[in-house]
Amino acid sequence: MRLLTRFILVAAALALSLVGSAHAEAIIYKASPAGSTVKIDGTSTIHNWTVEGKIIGGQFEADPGFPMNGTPDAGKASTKAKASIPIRSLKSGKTKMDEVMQEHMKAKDHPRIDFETTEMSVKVAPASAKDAIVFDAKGKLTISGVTKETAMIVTCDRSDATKLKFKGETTLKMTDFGIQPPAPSLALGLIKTGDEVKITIEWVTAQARTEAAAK
Amino acid sequence: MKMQDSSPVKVAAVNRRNFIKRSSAGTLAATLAGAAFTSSKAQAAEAAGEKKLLDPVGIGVIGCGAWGRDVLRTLAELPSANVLGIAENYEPFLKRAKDSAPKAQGYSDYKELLANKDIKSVVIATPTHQHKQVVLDSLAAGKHVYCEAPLANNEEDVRAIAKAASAAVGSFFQPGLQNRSDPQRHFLLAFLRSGAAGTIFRARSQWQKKDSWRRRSPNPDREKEANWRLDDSISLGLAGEIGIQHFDAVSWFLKEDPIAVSGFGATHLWNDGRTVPDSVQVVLEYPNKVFLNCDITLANSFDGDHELYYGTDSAVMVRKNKAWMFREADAPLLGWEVYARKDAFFGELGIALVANATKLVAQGEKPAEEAPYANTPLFYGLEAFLHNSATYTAGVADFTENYDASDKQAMKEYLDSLQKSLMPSASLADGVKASMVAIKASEAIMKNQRVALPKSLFQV
Repeated sequence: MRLLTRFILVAAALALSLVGSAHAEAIIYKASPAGSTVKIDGTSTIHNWTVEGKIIGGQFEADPGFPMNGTPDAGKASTKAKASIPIRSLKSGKTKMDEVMQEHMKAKDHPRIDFETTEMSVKVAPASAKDAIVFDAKGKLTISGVTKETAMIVTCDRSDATKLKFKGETTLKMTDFGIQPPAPSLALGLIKTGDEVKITIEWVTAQARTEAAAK
Repeated sequence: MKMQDSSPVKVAAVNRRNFIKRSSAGTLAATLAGAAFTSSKAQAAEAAGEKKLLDPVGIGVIGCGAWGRDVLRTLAELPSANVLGIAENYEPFLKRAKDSAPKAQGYSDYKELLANKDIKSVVIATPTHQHKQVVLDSLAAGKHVYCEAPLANNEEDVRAIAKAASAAVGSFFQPGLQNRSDPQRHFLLAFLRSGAAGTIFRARSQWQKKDSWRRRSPNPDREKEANWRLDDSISLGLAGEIGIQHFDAVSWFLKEDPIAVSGFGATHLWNDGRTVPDSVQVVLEYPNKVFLNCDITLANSFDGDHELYYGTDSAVMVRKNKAWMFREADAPLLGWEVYARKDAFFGELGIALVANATKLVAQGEKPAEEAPYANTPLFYGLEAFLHNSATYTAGVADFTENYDASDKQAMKEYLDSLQKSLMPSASLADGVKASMVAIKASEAIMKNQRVALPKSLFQV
């Protein structure tokens, strides 16, 4: 009888711990195609240029204790994000320019731009559960195989109950990532590209049920 | 005229005023020929870049008759072509095809070629009446498809192909209307649409060749099979196999769909039991009483093949990769034509519209007679197909790696967004329209009557 009681107690404890761990699973938001865009704006000696892409993969993750649907306080956030962009999906509308860009970004060896947060904090606490959360996202940005610490202010739009839309922009120098600004010789002569580019992203993610389901 | 264009092809917005303004400024620097010369260089550079940009996809050719072997010879000239398979159920043809694709695997059954996962794209060059099943099987196998024109020899099959191609998200589909990929045609398109020839009110085309179209074989069954083009129960005859390229080119340039077709046909020379005429005349009626008169014959070769567009200010003649403008005496001066090369045609002076054909360019490195786009329309059509197939393959891979691959609608929207990265080519809608016109033209010829072409006929 004592043995049976002990077994029941152990089983109950195990069951409770399983339930507890289920509740402790992070809330995962997977990249969603509808509305995701990345835009890179640059300059050159003849005109400004833009390349655009519609693929931003990856996921955003929030610990269960983080009030993703509520009003988080300013300060460190128990959230993290990982995003990647295939370089060949970035298009200028001109095959030659795409080719020059991919060659300079060493796309054959490093086919993606990767970003992974190391720390996220709520910069501006939202007034209501419907307001956007403004994050200060610090992380590692990898382009052409070179990784740099970077920070970006990211706004998380929560107006759609099923999706999160992150918007952010940052400016960087190509040379910081070992990329020589292209200077292609085209029909119009030699063109020199400016070192600085502005990257603007709109990243849509949709909630997956659990971490396990997201895998 | 109602302007409507289903083609994904981008055409530079050029109106008469700024065309003329550009043409007269700066001794041709940015004129007709000059602009085209620049674009020629850019296109060549772009084409060179494209080879580095995308990994070439494996391609297979299904059907290795005379045309299929032409396709293979042309693919052999394209660095981006990676021919991995050829399929043909007639052994001697398969052997002959190997000459142009020695490294390709030969298949007597095209379904075995479709089972090869390394082959991502197929060119379908079988007899027209066999297209449907091969296209459906190819799309079901997830291949990109280049289907020779006409898509089929009857409306039902055209619709079945259109339905399957529309539903096959991730597969790039291109009808074999090669003129749509020819850079020289794009140059002419901008010229004609600019209004520089006035209002185009009539078109005339001809294709003349003394050729029986008959294939010989010691085997009667094989001979019957090889001469499918001569059997009106499975062939659209000259209207389908030849005329379709003219019908499509004129409709494209006019930016209109024909509203009716009349046809006449007779066999004058090759009375060998064939049931399709060896000479036909087709009249396509466009809105506003604009007509195309198309003459095709196998009984006489005089003057080959060409197209003529008659405008209120000028006529424009297109022969292979060259074109000339013949001005009316009262036509307004455009400016640039003063410098252009001129060729005499029976007492008429043709102003060369070939890109690069100007005095300015003639004074440079290249002779004016040299056309910048010297390849055949088939070359450009296949080049576009290879590039576009590779773009789609990369697009599908990028989408699948980053998003939910089962979301076909989202994948379709993403692939649609890649249109700007594609090389010009005929769309599925272009292929359906041209095929339907060819089917009705053949019907008009055989019945010797006028056949209406309602808009519903062209709906995909």
